[in-house]
Amino acid sequence: MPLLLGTETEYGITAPGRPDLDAHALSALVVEACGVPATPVVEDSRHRMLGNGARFYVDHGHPEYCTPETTSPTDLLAHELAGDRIVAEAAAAVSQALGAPVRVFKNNTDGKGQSYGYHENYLLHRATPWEAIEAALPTVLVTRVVLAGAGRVGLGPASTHPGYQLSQRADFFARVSGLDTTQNRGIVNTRDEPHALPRDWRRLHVIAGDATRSPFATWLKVGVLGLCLGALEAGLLPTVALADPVDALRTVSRDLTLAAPLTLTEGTTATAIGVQERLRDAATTFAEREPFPEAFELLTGWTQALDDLRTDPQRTADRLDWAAKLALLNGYRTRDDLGWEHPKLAQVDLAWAELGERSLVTRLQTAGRLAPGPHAATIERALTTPPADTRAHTRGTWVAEHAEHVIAVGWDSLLVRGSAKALHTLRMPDPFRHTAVETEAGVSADRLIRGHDRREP
Amino acid sequence: MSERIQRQRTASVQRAEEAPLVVKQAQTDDLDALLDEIDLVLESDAEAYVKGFVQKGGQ
Repeated sequence: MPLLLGTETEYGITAPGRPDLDAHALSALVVEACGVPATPVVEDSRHRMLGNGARFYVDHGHPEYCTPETTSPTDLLAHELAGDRIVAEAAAAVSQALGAPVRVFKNNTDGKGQSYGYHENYLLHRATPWEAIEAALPTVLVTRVVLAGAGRVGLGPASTHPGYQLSQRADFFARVSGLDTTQNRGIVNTRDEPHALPRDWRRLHVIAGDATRSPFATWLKVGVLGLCLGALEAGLLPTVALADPVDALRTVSRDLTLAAPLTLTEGTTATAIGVQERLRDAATTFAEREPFPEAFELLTGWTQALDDLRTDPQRTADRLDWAAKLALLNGYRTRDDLGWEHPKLAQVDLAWAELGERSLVTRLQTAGRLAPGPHAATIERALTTPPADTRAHTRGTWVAEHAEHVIAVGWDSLLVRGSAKALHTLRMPDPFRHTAVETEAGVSADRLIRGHDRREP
Repeated sequence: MSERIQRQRTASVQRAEEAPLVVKQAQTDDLDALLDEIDLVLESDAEAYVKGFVQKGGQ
């Protein structure tokens, strides 16, 4: 199965010294200050497409970054980290202009009742029955929290009870399935906007995950779900299903021992780790039959993480956000004899998510306590270079090299003006086409228009 | 794991070396030294830092 994935991150934002600037105004300033090639800001629109094929805009009072379409977890990771850097550098530029710090955070709650999203997108075949997706996904997403939770100080949407839980998002899901993303959220989101030929494709929009800071956790998070979806489409996913996914999400998130029994529809119980092991076995069978990007590394990393979580969760503090953050918090709790209600612990939780030069994650990596991410050069390249093997290449090339010809840019089409002033709609309904190998490099806009592949997909 | 997945490995191993995600680093400093270092980054007024972070909502 061809893998196509991308993520959308809504960043938390605050400027403590400028209470006159609300979240929308601050976010707009950050998007305007984008330091990489991008479509211009026009009038009241704060929607920009970037030369690396990404989208950067203001949404619900947050700066939001959508990665371009990528075909492997490693490429996705590089582009997501590039997004973090673009946002952090834009915030630093705004801080300088305002003379007051503007802080941006990669987390999913303010701890006071509000949550904002980290959304994952996976392309699935239209032929895969929606009922099968809806039946399988809650179990995968709820148990994935043991690997992909970002960790959170505080229990309840508004942190009304002191304590620590694995997930940032768990307290903000009210039902198993639904379309809403701002209230009464469902673990399975039913949005069906493929941004590709609907006859062939569905875009699965996953809203239940956490934004993670550990590069390994981000890579594993999307890789594990990608493998599970591959197994699902191949008919290989086990029928294991949680009896009450919404309740299980809270249980898994609040169980630091990872030993809580979850009731399955078959009447028996299993732990989240036990369910993940069954999913891992199915994914292994799938990867034996069909090629999947980085399957060996993913299955190895997945297995090692599950084994370590079984033996002692603290063994994963060098890779998984929730365990790394907990190790840090426990360090302060021991050293300063703090209870979970102490504001210092909420401060560390928030500081964990802060991007830029104050980043705790960078300090942990420098100290050798957290696995490093991709090489700096890989992220540097992703700031300005779109993935070569998806239509993001064509989008990014137009924005970076022919901005003066670009009238409008969407995920699946471009509206451009040739030198004779005629308008041309360049459709890209197949996300796997319009790649670098299909496109002539370094040529004029007119030549790109003539060369645009208009074959029906 | 099967030979099939092993065979697929060659190409992606090079990628993995590019991105040393799973390499365990030697833990150089002890935890207390790191906590002291982080204390220098954190504001002295934890309560104000946390209370000041209020978001409007989102998806």
